[in-house]
Amino acid sequence: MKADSVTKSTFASGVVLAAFGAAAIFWIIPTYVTGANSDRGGLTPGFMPRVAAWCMVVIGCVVAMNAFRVILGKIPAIAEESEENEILAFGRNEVTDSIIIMLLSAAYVFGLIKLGFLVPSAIIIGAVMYCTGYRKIIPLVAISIGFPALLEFLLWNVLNVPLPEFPLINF
Amino acid sequence: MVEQLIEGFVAAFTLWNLLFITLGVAIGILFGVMPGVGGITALTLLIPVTFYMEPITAIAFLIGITKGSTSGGAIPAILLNAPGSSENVATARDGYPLAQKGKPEKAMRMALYSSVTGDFASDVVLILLAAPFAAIALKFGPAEITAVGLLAFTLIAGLSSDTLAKGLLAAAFGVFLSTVGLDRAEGTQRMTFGVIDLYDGISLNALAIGLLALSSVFSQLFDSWRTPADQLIKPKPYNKADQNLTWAEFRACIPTLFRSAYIGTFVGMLPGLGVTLAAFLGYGAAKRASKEPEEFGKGKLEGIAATEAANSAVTGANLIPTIALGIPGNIAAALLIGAFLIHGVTPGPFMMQQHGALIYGIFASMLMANAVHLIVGRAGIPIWVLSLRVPKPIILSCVVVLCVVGVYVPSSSFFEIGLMFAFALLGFFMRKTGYSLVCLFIGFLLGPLLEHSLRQTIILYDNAFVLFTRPFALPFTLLTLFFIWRFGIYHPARRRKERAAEADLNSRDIKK
Repeated sequence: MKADSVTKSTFASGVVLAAFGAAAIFWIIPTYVTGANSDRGGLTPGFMPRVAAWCMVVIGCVVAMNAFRVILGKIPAIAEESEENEILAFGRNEVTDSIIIMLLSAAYVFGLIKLGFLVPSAIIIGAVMYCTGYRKIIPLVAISIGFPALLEFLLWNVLNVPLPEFPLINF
Repeated sequence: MVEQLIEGFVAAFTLWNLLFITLGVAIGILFGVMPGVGGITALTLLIPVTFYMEPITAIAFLIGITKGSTSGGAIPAILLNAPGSSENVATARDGYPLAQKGKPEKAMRMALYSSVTGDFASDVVLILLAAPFAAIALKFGPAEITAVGLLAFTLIAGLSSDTLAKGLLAAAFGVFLSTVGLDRAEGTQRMTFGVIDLYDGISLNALAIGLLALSSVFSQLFDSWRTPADQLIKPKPYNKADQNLTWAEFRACIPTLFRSAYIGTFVGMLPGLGVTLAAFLGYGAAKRASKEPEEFGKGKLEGIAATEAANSAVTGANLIPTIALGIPGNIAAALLIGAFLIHGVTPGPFMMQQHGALIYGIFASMLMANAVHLIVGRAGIPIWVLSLRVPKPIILSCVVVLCVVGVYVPSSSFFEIGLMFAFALLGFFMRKTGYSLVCLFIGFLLGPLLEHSLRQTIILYDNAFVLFTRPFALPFTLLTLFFIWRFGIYHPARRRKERAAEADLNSRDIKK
């Protein structure tokens, strides 16, 4: 079942990357690379992006076609292993996780801009610790507040490097 | 040369010098331990501090940081599976499983000894070859660099990904990302979409931290969140008796150490190829040479030895093009060039003639730094092991914040923090779908070098077929084609055949 989900995601990613390569060749590079369309034997600023994009189109199609043939049962799948010994699977859980990462990241960056380093970092540490099963409340609160405070103090006072500040507080 | 080296030792063997080398190594290890922060951040932050030091002390201090940070990066790779920097990614492959088997100290000792061995070997090569190498390196034109770059992509894609096509696809995407920013030749905008933060290109720091460190943290966080506490694979308990690295174990790794040290030294000599490439080439070579290749990735000491010796060997060898030609081999060498310039020394072919005494003093300091590295690193191992007792949710949540700090400190840019999170998400996708993160990263890192050399090749020779006609480029081109056939056609066909035979056998068993 898990091998299936990886094959399907490989097929989808091959299609997506090949489509991205095609979009780059026909839209992104001509529109957003200055001087990409001038005629100088191909060696314009758009040369290398085009080479990379064509590679993505060709290899993306190869990856998608191979995965499609595996899905159709024409060729057996090659057992794949993760680079870092993780479980390869891409299903509903992974999609949910990705959405959580996006929301968490957006909230954290927004918090850094609006509230400075200390408050959102303390909230993130506390929330992540709690969600991953850490339930000792006093150490949880102490670490959530203490670690970012210590970091901010060290960076500001020892290395003289400022972190984003809360608008009303100046360390 | 021996006389000059002895004079160098006399100049370098001072209390201040030793003190600053020790401090440099300790700071390097400390910064290396923090995933995503690394030695580059330490160098960037501390170069201004060296302004008030003697040139020899200043450079020795910075070299101490570089040496310490490489082995420091292995510590989180082994203990947390969150490599301190990209060059330690391969260390995690065997280091983390060994730590999970209850032998973290053994893994860290192997990493430290390998790192010092690789460092020492490359320092010796640096001392012997700095001058003669200048002559050979001058024969490497753009065609040769292009051929070496293509070989590097193929090898890395074949070795770090289960299917060559997926590895190459990731590498091509990495090259595409590397073209964002101002065109280096003409200064025109490429895919910056009007965002000023993209004028200098996509930040290497944001990409490396997001893709390699933060995505690993997210993956581990979600795994521990979704897995019920009783089903979590718990590491075996720490047993003091299991931690010693015996002489027999170390001796068995000596051929691997020297092979990797040579690979790292060779890669380090060629500007731009970088530490990560050396680490993976060293790992791949050790796996191919091993009688038990299937044991790699399951906590094999040779895997740790191969990676750490190779990535540390780059440090010294990188200074060969820096000293001989004034061309930095990587970011750390580029920062060292900045430090040389601060102290009135211009790196390049005339450096040996004009500042010979200083250069040999630095060589002596590098050899001294290896001894200091061994002592400081060895003393620190029990302290780092204590961190294993800290519950994982605490470490991982703090690493998320450290990653943010690691990106914000050098850039002061919220855009780069957002970029880092975007790459963390991309890394998370890639981890779950079997795409190689390293291929993308290497593609991004080598992209500018490949573009520069490819454009030069076409301008100089009118076409790219010169890769088959230039005598120094031809062997690299042929090797590239060989590896494409081996990893892209031969291996998959053989594995599919084996898989079909297995399925056939299973169906017969079921019929019976």
